[in-house]
Amino acid sequence: MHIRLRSILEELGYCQDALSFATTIADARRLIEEQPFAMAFIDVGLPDGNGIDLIEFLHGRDPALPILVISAWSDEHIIMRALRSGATGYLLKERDDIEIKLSIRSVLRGGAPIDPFVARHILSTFGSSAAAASGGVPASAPQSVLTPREVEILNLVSKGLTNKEIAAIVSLSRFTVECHVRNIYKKLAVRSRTEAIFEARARGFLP
Amino acid sequence: MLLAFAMVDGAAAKEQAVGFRTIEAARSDRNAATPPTSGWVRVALPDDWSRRWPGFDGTVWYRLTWWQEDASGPTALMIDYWTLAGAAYLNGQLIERDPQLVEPLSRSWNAPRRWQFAPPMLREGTNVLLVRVSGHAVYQSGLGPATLGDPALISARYDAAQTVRRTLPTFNLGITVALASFFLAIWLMRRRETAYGWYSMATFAWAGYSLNLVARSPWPFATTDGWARTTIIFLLLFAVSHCLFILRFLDRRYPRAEMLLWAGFAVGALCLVAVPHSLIGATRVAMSGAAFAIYCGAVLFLFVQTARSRRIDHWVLNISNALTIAAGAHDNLTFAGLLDDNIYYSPVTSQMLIICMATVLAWRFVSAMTRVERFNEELAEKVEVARQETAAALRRQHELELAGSRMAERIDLVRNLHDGMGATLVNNIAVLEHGERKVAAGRFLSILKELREELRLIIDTTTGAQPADRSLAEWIAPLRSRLTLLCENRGIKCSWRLDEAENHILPFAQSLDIMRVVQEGVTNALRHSGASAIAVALESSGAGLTLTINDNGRGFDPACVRDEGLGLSSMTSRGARLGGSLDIRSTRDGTVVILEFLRARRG
Repeated sequence: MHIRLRSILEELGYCQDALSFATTIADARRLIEEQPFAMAFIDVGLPDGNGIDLIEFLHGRDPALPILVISAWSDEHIIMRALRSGATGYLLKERDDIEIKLSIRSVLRGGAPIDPFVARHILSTFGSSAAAASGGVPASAPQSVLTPREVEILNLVSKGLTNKEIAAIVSLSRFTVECHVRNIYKKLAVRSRTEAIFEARARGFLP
Repeated sequence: MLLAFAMVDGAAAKEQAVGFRTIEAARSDRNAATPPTSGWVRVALPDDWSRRWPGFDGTVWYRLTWWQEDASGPTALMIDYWTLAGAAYLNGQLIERDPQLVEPLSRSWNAPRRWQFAPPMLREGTNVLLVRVSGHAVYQSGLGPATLGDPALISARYDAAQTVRRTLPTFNLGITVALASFFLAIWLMRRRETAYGWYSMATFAWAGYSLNLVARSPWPFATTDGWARTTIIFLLLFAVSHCLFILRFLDRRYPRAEMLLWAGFAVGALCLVAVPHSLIGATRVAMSGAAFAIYCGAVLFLFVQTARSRRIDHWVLNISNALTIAAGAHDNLTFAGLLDDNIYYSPVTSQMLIICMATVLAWRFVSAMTRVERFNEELAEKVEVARQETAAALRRQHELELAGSRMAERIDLVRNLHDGMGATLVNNIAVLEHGERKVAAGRFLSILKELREELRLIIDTTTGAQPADRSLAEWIAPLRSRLTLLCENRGIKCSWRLDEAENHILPFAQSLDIMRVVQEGVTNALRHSGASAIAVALESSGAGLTLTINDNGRGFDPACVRDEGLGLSSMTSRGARLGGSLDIRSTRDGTVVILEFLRARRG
């Protein structure tokens, strides 16, 4: 994957010097301390810890940094956790090089790759906890509930439509659709943060 | 207690006449205000005039004289009782008077009196105490023992008599009524316990009978006879109720004998109400004897029935009955006039009775509570055992279900792998074994790629952790999005019409076959045809479904490429497996792949 990713990125026009690779979380942290990066690819299965923690760390340092999680299987739970931790997108290992290239390019353009199963999962997550939130935690509701337009987009994605097709159907530009998807991802992260704050308050760590 | 009273009584009997010179009695008119001048006879106290003047109903005057040596100190005089109403005069001066000296008479037969005399009322020399007593021969009318002496001595004697004749009976009456009310309450709340009901009735009847010992006023009766009749009716009622109590206590029922008993009670009560005054004496002696006999019979019955029992309540009851009979025998003799002491022991023994009944009740209560507690313990144990069994059964069931569902998931996965990749593997192995010996690297790569595509589809569809009843559209969605992205990347317009797929739920193997046909068809068009537009459509056609993949590319000759790539042949075999037909029409203006298969529509 390491080599594959390197060749794909080189094809995309990045020179060798601009790419740094780390095989452990410790290495990665050291690299981050040495110099700033424009983009991060993180495999969740690292030898010395969980890649999700690293994503949280990076997102905490710089929320604007694009972070792509690389998942060996299309395991939606790991992808969802990564998105909640602040990842801006994900790559599926078993996809063709060309598809991975497409995803990276889309992220670089400011887009957000999304698959039908992820869309379905987000819909069910928000659906179930929206019902729960209406009873208990009003403060988190305004930020973390999806707009009707976002729900509509997620529904179309789950049916297998591409962002371009969706753009045509809802009469928006493709960039707007991608912006919506990015917002949905942000909401996931915000949501997990507000949940953390609530939990911290409940336990007395925060006033 | 009983003994003590007997001793006091005996001592009193010895001292009774000390100091009196003469004790005389004379009859007079019922309304006479002064003693008669003649007809005086010497008598001894206690005196029951019915023995001397049988059948005399009216007033008798008693004259007691004594010689007082020294009149300076006080002297006390005590009379144990007079029957029934009376007045007392010392040296012509009234010192005591009952309210009712004519019918209905006051009831002083159980009331001791005491006076303390001093000069000038008390004279030196001869003093005369005159007692006017009104009564009836049938009620053992007369004068009780009289005692003269030192005030301290008389006071002690008086207190003892007061205790026996007034305090104890009153006390007992109160307790008896309380006990009766208590048992009545028990019975009212628990009608099945008829023994308590009968005991309550017997106790109330006994209270009615005991009232005779306490009452001083003739109220509520108009005559002394009224009192006498009612008292004996109460005694009869007590005997009959007690008899029924014993029967119920032993859980026995003898309806005929009980009817007979009640009939006897009714006859006895009627007799008591109806007999003329002259026969009251005989009747009440007979009736109280009958009551005593009934009571003794019941007690004997209980004793015989429980002689071998070890139950505490049985024996306590037997003992208390024996005491009651002893007291009752004494009382009956006194009543009949055969004993002179005029003391009735039944009120005293009834205290023992109360203690005994309390013991019986407590024993019954405790044994019932013990039974309940034991029952509760057993019940709790049983409930606990049942609970644990149920929990174990549920746990086993849950484990089985869990194991079952895991097994089902695993079997699903294995079946998907087998259905999906098995066929492709077998096909390719057959081709490689029986086809040309040397396989070109390109051909081999295409076989591997096909297998990878197959695996990818299985992973895509299986990891979704979705239930098996996904519609065809849901199965196709991931494939659709991937293929469309690839098309968009190459600037190819790719359109899908899958509305029909929403309503169809197919087995995994069939869905996979359809997806592979779609994947293969679109990929071919994407890679080889140079088309600018690809259209995929799934439409229903009669009872079946038709999948159409259309492109506007340069086309190819199906016959020429059939052996080249495995794609086309595998598409054909999948079509056959779906029970349909695959048709590929290619012209210079484009290619159409048409897959038709039968499928029952759902929903």
